Amino acid sequence: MGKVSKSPGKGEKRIGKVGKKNGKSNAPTEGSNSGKASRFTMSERNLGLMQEIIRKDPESYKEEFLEQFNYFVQTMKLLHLQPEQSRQEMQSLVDSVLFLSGLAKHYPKESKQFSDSLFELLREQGAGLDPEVRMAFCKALVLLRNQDMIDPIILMETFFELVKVEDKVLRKFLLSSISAHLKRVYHKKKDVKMLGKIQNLCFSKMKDSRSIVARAAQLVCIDAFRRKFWRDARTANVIAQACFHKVAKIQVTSMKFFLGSENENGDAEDSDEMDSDAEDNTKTLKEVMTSFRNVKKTRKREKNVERAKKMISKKKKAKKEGRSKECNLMAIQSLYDPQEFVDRLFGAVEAKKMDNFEVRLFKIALCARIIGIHRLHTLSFYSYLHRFLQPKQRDVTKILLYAAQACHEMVPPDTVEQLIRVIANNFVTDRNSPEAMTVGINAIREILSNCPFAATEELLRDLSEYKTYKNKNVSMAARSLITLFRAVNPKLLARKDRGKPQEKDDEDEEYNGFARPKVHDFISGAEILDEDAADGEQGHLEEDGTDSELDVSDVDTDDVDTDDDADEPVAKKKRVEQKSVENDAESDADDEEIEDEEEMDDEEEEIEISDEEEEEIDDEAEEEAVVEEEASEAVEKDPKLKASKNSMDRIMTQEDFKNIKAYQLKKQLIGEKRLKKQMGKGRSQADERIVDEMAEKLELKRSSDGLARLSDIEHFYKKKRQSKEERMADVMAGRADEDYKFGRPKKNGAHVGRTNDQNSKKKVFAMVKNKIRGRNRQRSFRDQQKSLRHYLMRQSGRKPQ
Amino acid sequence: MVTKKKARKNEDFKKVKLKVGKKLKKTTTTDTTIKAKRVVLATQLEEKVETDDNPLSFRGLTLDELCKQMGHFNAKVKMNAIQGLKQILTSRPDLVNVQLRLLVPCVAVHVADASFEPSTRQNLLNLYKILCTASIQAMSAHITLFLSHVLRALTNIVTEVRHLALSTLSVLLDRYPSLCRNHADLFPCFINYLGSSKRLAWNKPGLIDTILNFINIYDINRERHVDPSTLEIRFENEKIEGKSDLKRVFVQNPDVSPFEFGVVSSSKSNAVSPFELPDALLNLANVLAPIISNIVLEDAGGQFMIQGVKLIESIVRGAENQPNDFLLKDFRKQVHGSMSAVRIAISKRHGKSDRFRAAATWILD
Repeated sequence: MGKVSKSPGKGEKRIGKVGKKNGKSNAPTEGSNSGKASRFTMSERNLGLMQEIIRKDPESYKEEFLEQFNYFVQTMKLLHLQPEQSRQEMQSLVDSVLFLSGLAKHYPKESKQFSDSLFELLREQGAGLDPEVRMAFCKALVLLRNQDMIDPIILMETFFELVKVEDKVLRKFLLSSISAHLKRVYHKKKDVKMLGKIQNLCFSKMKDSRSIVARAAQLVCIDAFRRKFWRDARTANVIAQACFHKVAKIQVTSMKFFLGSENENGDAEDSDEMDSDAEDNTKTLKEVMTSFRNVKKTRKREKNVERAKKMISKKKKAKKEGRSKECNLMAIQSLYDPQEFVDRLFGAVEAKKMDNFEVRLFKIALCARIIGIHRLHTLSFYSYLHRFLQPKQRDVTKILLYAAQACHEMVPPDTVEQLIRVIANNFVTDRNSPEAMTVGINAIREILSNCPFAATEELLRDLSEYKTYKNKNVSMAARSLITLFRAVNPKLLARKDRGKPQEKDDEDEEYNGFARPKVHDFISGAEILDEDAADGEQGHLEEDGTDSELDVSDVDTDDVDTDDDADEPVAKKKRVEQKSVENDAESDADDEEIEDEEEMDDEEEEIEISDEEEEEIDDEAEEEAVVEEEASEAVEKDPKLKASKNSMDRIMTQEDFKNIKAYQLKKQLIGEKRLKKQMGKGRSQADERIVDEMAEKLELKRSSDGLARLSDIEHFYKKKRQSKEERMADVMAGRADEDYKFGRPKKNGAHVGRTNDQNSKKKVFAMVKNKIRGRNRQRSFRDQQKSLRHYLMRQSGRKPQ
Repeated sequence: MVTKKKARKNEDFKKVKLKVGKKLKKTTTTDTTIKAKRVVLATQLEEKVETDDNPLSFRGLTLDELCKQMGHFNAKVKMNAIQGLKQILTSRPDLVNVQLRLLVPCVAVHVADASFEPSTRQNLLNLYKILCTASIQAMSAHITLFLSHVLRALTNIVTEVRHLALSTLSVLLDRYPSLCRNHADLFPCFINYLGSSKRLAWNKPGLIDTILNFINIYDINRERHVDPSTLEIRFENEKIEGKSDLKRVFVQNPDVSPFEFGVVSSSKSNAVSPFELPDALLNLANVLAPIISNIVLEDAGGQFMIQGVKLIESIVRGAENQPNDFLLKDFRKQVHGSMSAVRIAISKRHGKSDRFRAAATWILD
């Protein structure tokens, strides 16, 4: 028996030595024979745990991987035969697919076969698969792509094919995975060549005949443009071509990309691109709230916390608004041929095809914006808008806005004049409601702020008369129009509306005309540089003095001594005048300086005739020998000459520009203060408010693209107050469908109140005993006999039967 | 003074003040909502009547309903459906051939169901045995799907599912050998199963019998016999002289599906067998060597002696009579090397080893 027991042990050992396969196959058996439940045996039923074990040691556990791989291969063959499977069967397949995709990088050969079979099944049976299985396959492929084990181009083509499947969750996943891949390629790998390949693929898919595939590619392009992956002209133009797609939804998406829907932009960018910034903002807000919570509460600290919250929210809003504006403006400026694009788009609007009104409105909006930004010539666009400019038209405020956006200084004045006349005739009449009149005047003001040359005196005076209209909104709109033309061209206004005119300015000033841009000879404010240079270095001063002397000697050789003598007293008197200016003593000096500033503010061309006139004035001055007049004339002359000289003679540096800017701001502030002092007494607060708002709006326009906003058209200074009757009518109208008297007793209808029986229960018995007695007397004879018989039986001791 | 009468009179002459450009509500819309107190499905109230064409199970369910319940997510419902199907098919065996199109897709899928209890699994195996009473002509159209499910279950991660798949495969191999031979994936999948670490232990009932059935369907030397005959074909006279019947040449197997015409069909048929491919036979030898060595060493009582001898004989015969050994370099040497474990085991055996030695003479040299 001893021998028999020993020999099997030896045989097993020798068998183990012969081959590795035998050893591996026997090892788990030995493990299972022992009573311990090891980690490995537990993982045989848990794929997650098995995945973790295999990742630590891929070589040793290849057999377990191959088991799952063989299971997957057999299941795929079965799916080719029978695509419909039950949910539980598919769950095991989904688990297997996730397991294999997580481990694919350790086994390259099998992963190649794995991805090929996934691609094959998704191409052939993509529509027939269970949605969850299909999603699991796509996730597995995305995981393989992130590990660089498959070609991204092939994967993307497969995804664009799968977009056809009517599965909304799948479509969202596909688009988000493509965007995530672009983000990864752009930020982490910085692979420009791959970005180019993907870009070419998306552009070709946008020309696909299947509209759902084209729309998916369009969404990818738009998202990539917004998030700076493909922010270039080529992408913008490909999206622009989608405005002419035969499917209206694709057209609308492209047009919204150029026009900019604020909510969509803000939400999208917040969720995706603003992750780190959002964390910073969240941290800041968290810090503020935490520190406030842990600190003693005082009124001052509460105020500080509220202020900090507002600042944080303001910053967020500013970021959102700025980004969306920048993106849309950049896209419009990137168009290759905006004139041809607008002509095509306007042709699509004018065609007899029956589009939705909303779609046509988008096209009109995009035409107007591109015309306004690129200053294009599409003259039939303005007459096309005439038919829509009616108060009863749906979304008429938007159409008025688009008309204002499309007007620029290159449009012929008669075209704009007709447009304004149509608006004035249809909106600004007493037959219309005050809201329509207000909207019309606001629209005309926005159009004329872009094309002031199109205004006629007759029209402007008619519109100015509405400043005394009884409705507050209409009068304020008319006053804002008057304020605009006081700054732009006061000649067209009635004399009483012009404010305080400056006589000399009228003669000299030239206003913006049709196709007449401004030409500058010098930079306004450059005269300040000479003094700065003199302060810095004395050498410059000497050189300047030499030049001036030479000029003087060339002009008048006989009067050299006289001029030198005259300069010294002039300088002394300047100092005296400066002191008096600071003291605000003399009104004459103030008037003169105001004139000087206004002359300098206006950027004028110097005409030779005016120079000759000034020379004549000089001669007269000398004859009169009035020193003050000489001083004032010298002050008038010198700044412009200095400015032009400095602008031409030198090359400006950054510090020079900084000094010029500071000087301009300073002058502006001083001017405003003096204006307020002079005009403050006679002007009402409403007028001041209009002036301030107008200034702010002009500044905003210059900083951005220069187009009007919808809020400018729909601006109402005063909301109408409803009377009590109207408010109660609204309340009752709101309650029409509602039965709100629950819980109360009814006062109408049957059985309102209490019955006599209910009332008698609360009364004293003596009051109602007579009625109770009366009940017996009304009984029938039979009933009376019966009760009497019962009574007598009870009296005689017998029970009634 | 504005009285109520005057106000009512002037209502018609009020100027309507509307917001410019805003939409007005439509007053001509039609309300199409519907309310119902009761919804009655009349078909559910019909009484079921058992007829010859419409048999009912012990719970009053038809065959269609039972097949639908096989797709239920609850294991108990499926268990009851299996019992119902068993009852109907045992009482009406003629339905098996007719209803195979309905039964195979919904029943075969559960060979890989891991949520079954052992008793339910046994019932399922019995149901498979009943299904396999169908004729070869009826089953030939569904054997591909059935085998795909079984082979997939053979690679499942749960061990009990593998055992059930092995039992089902044994039934199929025993009942439909010619149909199983034509399935291209059967040989490599079964080889993978025998080579994995999660197969049934060698001494458990079912494994060796299944292996023998598996080898039988591919072993061509057992079935093929050569009848030498002479045919003279004279093209001048357009005559054929000889004693052979040409009809028998083209109809090789009367049991094969009528779609499997030997000359035209593209699928694997009797012409090609794994025993005629040297690499396939080598894989089989590598996989069977541990099992045979276990039989030789550990089975002292001789319980599996006959099966072991058959296994050795089949491999030896396949190697000796290999017609295509030139395709693989050193084929005989490799087979001889793969069976070294068997050779060592036979030399170490305690007990009777004469039959093993006689069978393994070619290996022992």
